[in-house]
Amino acid sequence: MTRLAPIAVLTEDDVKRIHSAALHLLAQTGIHLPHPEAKRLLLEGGASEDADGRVLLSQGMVEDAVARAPSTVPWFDQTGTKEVPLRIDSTYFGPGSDSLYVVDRESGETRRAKLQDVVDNVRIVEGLPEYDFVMSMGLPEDVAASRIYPAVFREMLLHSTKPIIATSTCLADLETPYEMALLVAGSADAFREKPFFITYIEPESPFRFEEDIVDRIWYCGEKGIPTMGVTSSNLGGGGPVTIEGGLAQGTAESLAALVLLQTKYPGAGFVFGANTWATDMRSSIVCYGSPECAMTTAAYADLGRFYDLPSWGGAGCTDAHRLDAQAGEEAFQSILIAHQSGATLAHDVGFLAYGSLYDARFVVLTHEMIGRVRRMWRQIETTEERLAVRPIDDVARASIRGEGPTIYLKHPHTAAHFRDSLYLPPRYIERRSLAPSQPTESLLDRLAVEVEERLSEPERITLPDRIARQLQGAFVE
Amino acid sequence: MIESIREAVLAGDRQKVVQETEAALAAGREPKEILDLALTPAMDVVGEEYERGDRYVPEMLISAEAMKGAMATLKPLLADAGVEPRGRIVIGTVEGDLHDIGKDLVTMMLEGAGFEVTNLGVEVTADAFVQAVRDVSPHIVAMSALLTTTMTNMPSVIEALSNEGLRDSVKVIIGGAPVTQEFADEIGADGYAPDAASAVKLAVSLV
Repeated sequence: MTRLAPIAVLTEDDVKRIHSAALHLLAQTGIHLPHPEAKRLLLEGGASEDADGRVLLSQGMVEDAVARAPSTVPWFDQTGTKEVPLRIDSTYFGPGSDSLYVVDRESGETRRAKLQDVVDNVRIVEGLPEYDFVMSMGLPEDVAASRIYPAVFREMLLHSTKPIIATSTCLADLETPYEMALLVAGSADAFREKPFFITYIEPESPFRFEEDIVDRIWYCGEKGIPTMGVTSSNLGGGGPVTIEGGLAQGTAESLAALVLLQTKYPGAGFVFGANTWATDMRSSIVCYGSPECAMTTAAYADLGRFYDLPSWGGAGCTDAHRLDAQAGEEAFQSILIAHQSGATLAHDVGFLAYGSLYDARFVVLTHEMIGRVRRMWRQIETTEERLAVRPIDDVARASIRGEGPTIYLKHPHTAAHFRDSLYLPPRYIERRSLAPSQPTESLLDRLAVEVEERLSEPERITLPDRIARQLQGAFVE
Repeated sequence: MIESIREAVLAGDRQKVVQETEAALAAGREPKEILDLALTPAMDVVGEEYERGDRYVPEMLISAEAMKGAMATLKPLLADAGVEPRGRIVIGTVEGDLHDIGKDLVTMMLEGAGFEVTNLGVEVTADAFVQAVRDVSPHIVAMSALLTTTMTNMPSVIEALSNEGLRDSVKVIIGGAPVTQEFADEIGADGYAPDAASAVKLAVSLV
């Protein structure tokens, strides 16, 4: 099924102005880069240093880096059989990572996340086909802080076959997952050929590229792990309050990360973009459900199209503290816009409370929204078969004659095409006829049933026994 | 052979069902065997899948159509062998109401399940229901209405059957968007079903 052409929130002129503001920022404001080798490499490559020791990047360096980066980055599922190529105008949805809290399935209370919650949510995402990749969702309190990222990575290997986006806070958070990935892939070459995890690396705004950030970006370049340098140039928070300024800063920061990667590892896979979401002017939270979050995801898709690079974004998340109507409207707005814009990666799907809280029921509901949006944004096909002139003639005549396909429901054309023509929602979406006297259970209750049914299945380890045993016996403890 | 008839019914492949049925007969299979081992079990699966949400109305209907294809061949043979249908049912949409989609769905599913159904069409008056009961001696009278203004004609049919002394000879079942179990109880019907698959279950339980 071909999707409709993407919408644009930036005009060509807007894109050029943001690009030139970003170039200006990189050349005049430059980046904070305490990493000695990185500084030396960039200075040799045409950068200069100002009186404050900031590294100023030239337009030529940025253009070279953009030219060296692949426009399509190979990405695979963990079995290496399904390719999920990262490129603009192919949109992939998945959850987020690092949420402190979950809604307890039994008590309904909000509590700290545990490793079992990570397992449960990964299993739910694994079973929902509209989710294209997996992230760890929870930040488990029952795992030692230094082992959290390897521990959750292992659970994503054990309970999912989907491509992974891994987060990290230091180089060790990446090294162990990479070793685990090699066990699954079989060898370093096999992983390089079909990488199934990419990393989310977050330099601090504005323009701070600490040593550890560079080490991680380069580690990915060396090992063939596609990566990104996603800053949080949030409006009025990590960045200026205007969308235009936030996009200029986020673009410049992402391009600086790209220059760092391509200077050392030309041709390494990279995803362009930043988190440029609203900062609430009362509570100062970063608003995952803001209209600006949806718009900047679309804007980075426009910019990604200009650079011919896959783009980063967020969708399907909310600032609501519980699964309510606000959660529904905010999640749907960003899923719709992310898909329509052709943004490549739309993460954080299913997050409540600005990324602090997970509720398995919301993970199920937002998955349904993705299916709905993908159905809506599909091209109309005016083929003879789909124009259905003959079936229309058949039913018009039969309904008067009183025999044959007297109604469309009886016509074989309906049976042949309803599945490829109509959106068929899952059972928890209400579409039964109204019977006022009969009690209807709430959507939340129906979602809870769906979650329990999925989790009542026995836990399935998605890896061969031998590899699963090796993973379970090493690395984390 | 029996298995391929079942599969063809499930797939809604009418042509194949007819061919395989004829082949089975030619190979010496009894008509009742084909009905009991292939057609009826296949339609039971169709009903179960629909209730589970795995099968949709158009798929249910093409399976019912496929089953009807085989029945056209089997019916006279079954009659000759003295095999009775699962039950006889008279069905219609009540007076003042022109809606036939729901009623036709129920008809097809009932036929698919092995009932002999006399479909009286739409705008069926109480007198016409009474006459059909006299003519066909059904086990069940099934009424449909889509409008709150026409569902009130359902009790008139039950009353007419009582007045003619026919009420005890049949079970009365009702359905349609505005109809509920409470309404069925209120007017003294013997059953209510919210959809076509449940209507078949209800009919089976009543004969």
